[in-house]
Amino acid sequence: MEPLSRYATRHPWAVILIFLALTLGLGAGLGRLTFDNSPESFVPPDLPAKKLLEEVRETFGGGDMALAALEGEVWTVPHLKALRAINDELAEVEGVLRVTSLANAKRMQEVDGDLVIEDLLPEDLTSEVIPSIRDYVEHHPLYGGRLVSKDGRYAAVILEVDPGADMRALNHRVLSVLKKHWDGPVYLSGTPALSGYILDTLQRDLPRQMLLAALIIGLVLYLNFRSGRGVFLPLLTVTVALVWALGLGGWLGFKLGTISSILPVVVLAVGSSFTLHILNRFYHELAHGETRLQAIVLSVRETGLGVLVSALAAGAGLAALYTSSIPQIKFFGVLAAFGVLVAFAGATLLAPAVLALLKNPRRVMDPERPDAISRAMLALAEFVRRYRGGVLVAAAVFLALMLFFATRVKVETSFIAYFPKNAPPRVATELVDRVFGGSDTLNVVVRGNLKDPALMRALYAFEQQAKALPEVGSAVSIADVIREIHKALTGSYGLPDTEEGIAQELLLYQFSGDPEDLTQFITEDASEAQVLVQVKSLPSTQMEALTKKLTAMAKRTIGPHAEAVQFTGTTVLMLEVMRLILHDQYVSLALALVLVALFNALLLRSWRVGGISVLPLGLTIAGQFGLMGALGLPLDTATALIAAIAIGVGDYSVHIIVRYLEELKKGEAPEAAARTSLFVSGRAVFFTALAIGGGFMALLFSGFAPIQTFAKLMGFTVSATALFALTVLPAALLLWLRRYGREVKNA
Amino acid sequence: MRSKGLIGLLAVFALGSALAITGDEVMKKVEAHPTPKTMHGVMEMHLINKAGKKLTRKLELWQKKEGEVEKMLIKFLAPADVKGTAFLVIRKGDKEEMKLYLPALKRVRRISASQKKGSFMGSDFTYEDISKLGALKTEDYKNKLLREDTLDGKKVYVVEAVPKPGVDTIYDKMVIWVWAEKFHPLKIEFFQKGKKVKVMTLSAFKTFAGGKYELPTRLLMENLKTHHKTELLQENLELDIAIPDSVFTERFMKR
Repeated sequence: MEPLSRYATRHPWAVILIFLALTLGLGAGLGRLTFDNSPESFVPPDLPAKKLLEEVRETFGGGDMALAALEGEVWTVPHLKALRAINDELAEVEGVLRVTSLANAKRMQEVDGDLVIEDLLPEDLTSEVIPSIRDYVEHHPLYGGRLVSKDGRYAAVILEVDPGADMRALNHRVLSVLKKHWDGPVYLSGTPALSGYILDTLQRDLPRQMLLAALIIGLVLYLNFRSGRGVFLPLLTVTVALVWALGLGGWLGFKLGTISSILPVVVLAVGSSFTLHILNRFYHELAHGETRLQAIVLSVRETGLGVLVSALAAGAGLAALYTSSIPQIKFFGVLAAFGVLVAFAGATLLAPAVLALLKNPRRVMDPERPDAISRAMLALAEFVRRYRGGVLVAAAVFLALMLFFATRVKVETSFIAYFPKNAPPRVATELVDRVFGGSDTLNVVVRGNLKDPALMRALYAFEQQAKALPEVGSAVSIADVIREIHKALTGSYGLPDTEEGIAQELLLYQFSGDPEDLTQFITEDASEAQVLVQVKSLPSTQMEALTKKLTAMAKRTIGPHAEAVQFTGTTVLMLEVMRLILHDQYVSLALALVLVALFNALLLRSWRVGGISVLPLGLTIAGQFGLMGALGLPLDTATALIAAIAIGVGDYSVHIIVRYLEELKKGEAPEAAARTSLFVSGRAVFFTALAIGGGFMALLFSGFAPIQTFAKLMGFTVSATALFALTVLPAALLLWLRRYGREVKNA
Repeated sequence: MRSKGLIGLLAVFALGSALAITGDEVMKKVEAHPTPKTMHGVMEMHLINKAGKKLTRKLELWQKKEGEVEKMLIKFLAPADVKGTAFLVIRKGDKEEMKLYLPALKRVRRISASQKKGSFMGSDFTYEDISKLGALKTEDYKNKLLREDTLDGKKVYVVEAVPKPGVDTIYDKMVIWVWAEKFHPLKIEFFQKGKKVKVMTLSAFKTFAGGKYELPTRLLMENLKTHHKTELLQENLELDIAIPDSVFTERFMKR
């Protein structure tokens, strides 16, 4: 590292030009960066439930579900006509695969001995015919309470959209069509609406968060250095790191979602600490009369090791996220790790190069000078020296307590949990849940001979059982369509009791109906069918319980008559994601902790040092989960990252260790070494924690609840790691690492 | 409408030749092919879904046109579970009577359904496709000759047909590839709201009634939105034979 920084001071322009060229090259990728927060971005492509869902979509058509609720007296000529205009216009919108509403519903009824099959809404709609239409709809299992609310105050428009569509554009387009034709309030729920809103919020939040984080970090830097370049240089290196990381993401075709929106703040906060440490030492050397170039080389030599170790640890912690099964988290891990390493390169190459070009500052203030903070550190050192045993016992008690609370952590993957209570998609979802009994759909896929009357009756029986559950709004299948046909043909509801009867009634429907009316429920060869179960948006744990209940119900009722019964749907996928998040947690946590210990052990050449170095981290992570369990904060796609990021940001304890070992090597007694270490590095740790923690506070202004929770937890994380690094760590060092030289030999 | 359609659809393709220079002239030649009075045959319908899975239906078809009255009977031969299902349409001027016989219910039901945009027996053909194509009136459309081209080695005129205002149709444009030698359409693209929604290809032309008629015996319609396809194959087609009126009765439906 030292030769590199020496080169940087000798050929600053070369270094700056190389950085500039790479920044331009990678930065060109920024334009290619796109957003995607579809459920798909959270789901591993090879997940069996996902493959099944894709097959179902291929077989029965359709895609991600959206449900619009239109408020107003539905049973009036103008509103029914508006509904027709909406239906027609939405069908033409790019990305919309299917529209279902009263406007394209069919009416099949016996009128004066004739079997009448016609559009529910006649071309020349008049108020005289409305009562009979209303009566028909209210008694129709596919329409009543599903396409119009029971009180006639809300009309539903069910949309199925291409999962690959641009959800933002689609959400806006659909809303504008609804508002254009409908004079009352409109509510749009479902995945496209949620995703569209998320992407809108992301694009609004992202620049704001970046700017705010930069401002807060800049302020902390100014408090530390009281100089313009003390603010400028760290921010320059992290800006470069950010451009590289996001640009690389663009070139690699990565897509940003809610999770990756944390990326800029992570790189800004973590990255700026590297330059902060180096500058601290630079100003210190300068204040002690070194020449500028000498001070640069010295600062990199003295702090470079600590910065390298913390950069590698941060990189390792973040890169460990690559083991995640969830695509969005994977991408985040790779890019964040890359960004952090670039920030390190910036701190050790670019910052020295720029420093070499700049003139000496007029006023040099030694950041390592004794001030209020370093005096407080001395008091702390004295406290730790005296009560080292007590500190460690307290830490053990804390650990036990937090581990106990950690067992209570709940996982949450419901999309709706992302939104503030008054966000339009959340309002819409709650309304749709209330009025139409559910905004989420489970697909129950049944394989077998669907012409078998026993199987058909089983489908119908399952629907009835499912509908009896309070969380289920409706359950529909081909059995309902056949019952309607049967009623129109024979005058009473029922299912035919022969295969021929079922086949012929299905055929009858095809003499006038749209084939899609049938193929959305059953394949042409009647070998596969799906039951669509409309359920309320529920928290993940309740949804999982409901799915289990329905699965058991389907296995019991349909199972004996079918070849296979399977469950899928976006919600089922998200439940799978929930399981993966939990599993990933353990893997990435363990991997990251081991990696950090390994780096520290290798670079400081002692296994014991490696072990002690992860103490503050271990305590902090236990604290995070304990806190979540105690406060009822859910583990979700965002908070699932905190442990890994804690490792990334929290490894400033290494600076304390490095200085402690340095002092031991100089022959100091352990107590004096700890004192010096806290006195000199403690101040840097304090300001680093302030800068990093402050940077993360920018995320408090995110439009998403999980990100806000994440920010709060990061606040805890940064303070806790700093506190543990300044108390538990020196206490442990004093107890267990009193000699360094011999450790080397033993290692 | 429907009965006239099926006869007409096949009749569009009789012989004829001349040098066409305008779109109107091309389409007039197409329209000039003679229409058979009766038709009887077996039709195989293949419903092919996006994944390529094929479902075959076999129907026997009788059609007859006498002055104002058009009659059509369709009887299902396969698959076995719908065998015997019969569909009768009798059309007098504007009045249309439809009856349906389902063997499982052993009853004939009168049904009334009026949707020209509706699918023809679950296929990708709509009733309008079946009826309009047979009776494609040159004067209802603004026909523009787009270009001369070749299709499968045959010289064709590519004609764009846009319905004139007031003409009742579900399409806002068709592009028709007309075989220059014989004036049979070989391919038709259908447009709705400016978007191409379906493509039909006509092939396997055969002559009937001693060369009086030449008709395609294979029609393939592809729905570009659902990627579903329907293939109609004509077998044992008999044209202008005598069909007794007793065929178009409830008694015959139940037989």
